[in-house]
Amino acid sequence: MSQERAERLWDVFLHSLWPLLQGMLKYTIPLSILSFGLSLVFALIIALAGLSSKPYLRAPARFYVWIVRGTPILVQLFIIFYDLPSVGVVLPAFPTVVIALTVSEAAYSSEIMRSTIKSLSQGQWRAGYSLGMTPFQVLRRVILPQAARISIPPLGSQFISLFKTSSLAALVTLPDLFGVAKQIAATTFEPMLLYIVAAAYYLAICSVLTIGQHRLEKKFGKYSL
Amino acid sequence: MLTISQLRKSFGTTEVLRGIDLHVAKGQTTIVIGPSGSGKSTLLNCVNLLEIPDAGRLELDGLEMGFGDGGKKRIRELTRFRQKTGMVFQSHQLFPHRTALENVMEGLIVVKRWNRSDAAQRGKALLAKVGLGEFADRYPAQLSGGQQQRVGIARALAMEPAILLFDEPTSALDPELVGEVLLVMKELTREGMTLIVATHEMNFAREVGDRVIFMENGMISDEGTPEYIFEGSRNERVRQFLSRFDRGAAASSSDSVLTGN
Repeated sequence: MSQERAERLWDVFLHSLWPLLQGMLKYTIPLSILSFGLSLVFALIIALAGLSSKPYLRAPARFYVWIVRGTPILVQLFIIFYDLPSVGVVLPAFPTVVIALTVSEAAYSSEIMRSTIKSLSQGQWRAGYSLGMTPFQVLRRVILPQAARISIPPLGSQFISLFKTSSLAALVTLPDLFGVAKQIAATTFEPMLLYIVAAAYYLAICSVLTIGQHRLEKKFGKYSL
Repeated sequence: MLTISQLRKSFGTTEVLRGIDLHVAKGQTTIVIGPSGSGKSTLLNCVNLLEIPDAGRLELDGLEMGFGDGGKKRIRELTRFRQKTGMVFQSHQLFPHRTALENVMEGLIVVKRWNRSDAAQRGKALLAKVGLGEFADRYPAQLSGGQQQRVGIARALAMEPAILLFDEPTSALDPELVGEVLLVMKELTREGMTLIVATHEMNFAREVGDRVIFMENGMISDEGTPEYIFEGSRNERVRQFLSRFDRGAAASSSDSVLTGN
């Protein structure tokens, strides 16, 4: 590699660091946190509906999970962004991505929640009932705290996965971490360098998330020896 | 105090309780024995409505409930009735995410809406009563089986039930831990608590039971004082069941001789 080329690469590298960081701070992180937070709320509702003994609650929940898990998120994203306008629903890119990520994530997380709630023994429900608690009280005080702890590892990896999936935002024109990398790569003709820098950013954040996940596991795991 | 009339319960096509009649007077200890699958657990579960009977009546401490009239029970009715009964489970079923003290406080705070400090005070007193004052801050996983079961008793007592139900409380315990649980239960009978105990601890049954009922195939096939049931029952099945028991006990003690335990 000529010195001239090396200097140019170094120059592009230095000048891309800040824009990529901005893309991450302004789009990638907010998109991920917002979508994940919303998806947890919906996931809990879907999970509880899916566990219900009432068919009119269970059927729609199962249907939702079936549709969403059975179709690629990129296709869902394009349907919302490119097809909905033709029926008069025009959404800006940011909410489009939040909706697509939330819809998809809620389906997967609801399955995690449903299985963890189911994995708790029937005896815990009975113990709560025997004290005179209502089903809702048992759910809130006995079942959900335990289910939350069990689902931290799988939900943690869901969040990490969602964080990376948010890079699809670039395909609907958002200048997120990946989107900015794409733009700079196109103008500087240095795609390799830019995508490696973007990858490094993703890796750094995912490493932090992994550590956070382990901390949470420890904190919530204190009652088991 | 507790009157059970013509209680019936089926699971699918299997009729597990086939018309149970039983009256338990206040302060009495009723022991339920019988082969496994005879309906002992289901009977207890029906008394605190963890299973809803298909037919019959329950009357407990002035509260009456009929079953099989087609109407579904409202949650309010169920919780009101359940608060009058306390249940100690075979596999303790403590809340693993709460300390011993918090387990005892849980019902007081959530169901009776006590404030935390009152609940804690009562919880500590109850733990002290079952000999676990020192263990208030331990999580269930940090306690022995016998200690867990005693916390379970304290948790049930906290609600001041009219009657305490024990579903084979020592069956899942190591033999050396059985004694401490039975001791607490004996203490309760001395204090005049009303108990129904399903158990295989025949010595305990003999010692503290006011009445022993023998269940088989979902029916009470014999009942009487411990002396009558253990020494003089005219019911062939009871004698068979108890003799198997004696032989079982003899066999296990000869086992321990052989293995040097």
